[in-house]
Amino acid sequence: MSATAPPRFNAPMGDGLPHGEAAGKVGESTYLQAISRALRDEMRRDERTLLVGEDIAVMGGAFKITHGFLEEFGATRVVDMPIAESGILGTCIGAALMGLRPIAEMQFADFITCGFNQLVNNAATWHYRTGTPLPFVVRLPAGGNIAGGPFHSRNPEAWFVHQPGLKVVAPSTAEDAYGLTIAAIRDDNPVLVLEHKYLYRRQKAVLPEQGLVTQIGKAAVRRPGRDAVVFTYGWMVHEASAVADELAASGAGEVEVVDLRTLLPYDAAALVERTQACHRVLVLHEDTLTGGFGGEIAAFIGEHAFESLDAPVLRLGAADAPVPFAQPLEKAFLPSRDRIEQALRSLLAW
Amino acid sequence: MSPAARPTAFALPETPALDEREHGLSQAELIQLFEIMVLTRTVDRRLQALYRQGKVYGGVYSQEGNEGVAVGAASALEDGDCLFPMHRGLGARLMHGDSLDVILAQLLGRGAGPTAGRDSGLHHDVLDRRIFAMISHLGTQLPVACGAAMALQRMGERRVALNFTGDGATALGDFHEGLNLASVLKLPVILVVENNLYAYSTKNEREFACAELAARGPAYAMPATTLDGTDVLAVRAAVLEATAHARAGGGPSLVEARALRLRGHSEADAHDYVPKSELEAGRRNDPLGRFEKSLREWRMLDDSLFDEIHARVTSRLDAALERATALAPPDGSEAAWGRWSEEGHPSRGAGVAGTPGLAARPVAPRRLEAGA
Repeated sequence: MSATAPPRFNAPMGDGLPHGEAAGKVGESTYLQAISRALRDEMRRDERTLLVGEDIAVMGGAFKITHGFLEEFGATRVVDMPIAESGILGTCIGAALMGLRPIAEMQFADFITCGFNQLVNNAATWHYRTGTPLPFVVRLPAGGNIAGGPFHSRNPEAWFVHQPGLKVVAPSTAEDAYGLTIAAIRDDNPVLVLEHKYLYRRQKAVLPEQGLVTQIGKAAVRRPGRDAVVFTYGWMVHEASAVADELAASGAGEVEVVDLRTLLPYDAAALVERTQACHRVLVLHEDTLTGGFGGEIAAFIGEHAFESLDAPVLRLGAADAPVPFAQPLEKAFLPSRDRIEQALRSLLAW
Repeated sequence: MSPAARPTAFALPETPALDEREHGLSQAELIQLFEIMVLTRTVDRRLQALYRQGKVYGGVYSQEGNEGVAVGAASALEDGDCLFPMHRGLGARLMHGDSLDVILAQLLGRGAGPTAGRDSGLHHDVLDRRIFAMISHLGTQLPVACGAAMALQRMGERRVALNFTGDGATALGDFHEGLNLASVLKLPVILVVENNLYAYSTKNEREFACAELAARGPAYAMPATTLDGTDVLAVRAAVLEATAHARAGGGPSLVEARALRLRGHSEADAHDYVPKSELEAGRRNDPLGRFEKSLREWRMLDDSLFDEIHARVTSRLDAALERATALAPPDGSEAAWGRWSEEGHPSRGAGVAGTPGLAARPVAPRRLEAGA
């Protein structure tokens, strides 16, 4: 495949869109194209960067995010690796120790379990132990609603937000897909970027020519409100916003939607401030509920903003089960708009 | 210990002599190698004593019996080569230019030590010597060494990355992943398996089914050898060959060096799973005794030089230990500081670290803790 050939979106797991569909309006980038552009811009700007992963060079990646990179940057900077996640993540550590800034792609976020030890015991503790910075990025195509089944749909964030030394970001928009990827590459720590596969070609934006960097650790209000607030991230930002619009249209109340954007370190000030402003809180994530990241957010709000609450903090996540394959099962498993609406109505009625 | 006191010989008298191979070393270089081994053994024994006296805490991992592997392999490295040592890595670290002061401050958990008391054992970076830390999960540093080797290639340096691991670690997935990707990517990596015959208490036969680990080499399409790790010059020769292969672009090599561990897994281990007869045979094959005997036969070492080396090593250790002991322990209020780079670190203060460019961090010339 030549550098100029258009990418074919022949991902092994479909995302529900026909192959080849790209950005709509002139100048718009999809979430996927925004990530690709961020990688390309940083590769051009900083010669210390290099990409490692499975099928990323010759094929351009399972989602074609690195399509054409091999031709532009060469085989020493775009490296097809054996299928060995521990080997890939260990390689990132070694290259970072020598002053490079590696960027690893896990073909699917689910596969990161095979490299768990390198991340949580080796990489995450390195700076704390030795004082040596370890700058690298792990890109994680995550999330469900694409009929990926138990091993191509996971949201693995709960494992990693428990590990000091790592950073975890989760863009929900094309702007943040670009800006957080840039910020992750420039960060001097191991940063995990949760890319939502369902958003890859559904989120679109016109990106500025230059200068877009999304600060790690800052939440964003996506939809203003005053009667309740939803703290969420990733795909669920859009589901919560859709429900909030419906509730407003029906006169039930004005629900604010806050996109956490960074899960570790999370924006503690925004949690307190928006709770004080809205008084009712729903913590929503696509990941399963028990032991999920939402528990941390809910507990933090209970500890630091209890006096502002007019109702108990509610949590909503996927059912406590592996991610099922068949569509009726996955639909029932994921947090639906109906369930988000029920949770918000019960909060508003409190 | 009075510097003048003559230490007891490390080995029983019937120690076999070393291979009469071409070692290509001058007398001064051979004596320096011997002195690093003596220093390693002397520090090791002092740590054992301090542990029994309750003056050092945490795990103390003796490398008695393995000095030939550690020092011999590391002696094949040049300035700019990367070293990924293991917990029984004192000799390798000293040989590649780690300093006794840094090592003792680390082992004593001092605030001014390289990890400021955050990690125990020989788990510290020496960046200007390209010596890198490890974690207790032996085996994990092979893929990390591959990453360093990839960086060396990218930076256009004809350097190598040497990683030590243990016989038990050959059963781990990272052993396979690391060797496989080193071979597939033709990385300048040398893996030395320090086979001390027992993974804690588990014998080789429960860790791998092949007779020799060199048998794994052909499966990864890389040169591999199994040799006697009590012969420091044989280890050095094998690793030199591997480094030459790697520097010439030939890719990785595997070296299995066998030498019985003469102490327990740690000093808390009764070591009663090793039969007495095996241990006695191991002591007869003590790498220090073997080397000493050969040096004497080659008329490079006599009583007077032997005593001089021991006196020098002991006084060097005494002084370094006094300095390390005088250092303050870490401040408990710093326990949650330095998790992320921008927080800073006790080893470099507050704030963001400078990030190096593609030009590598400067490499300091090797200064050995040996010789007058």
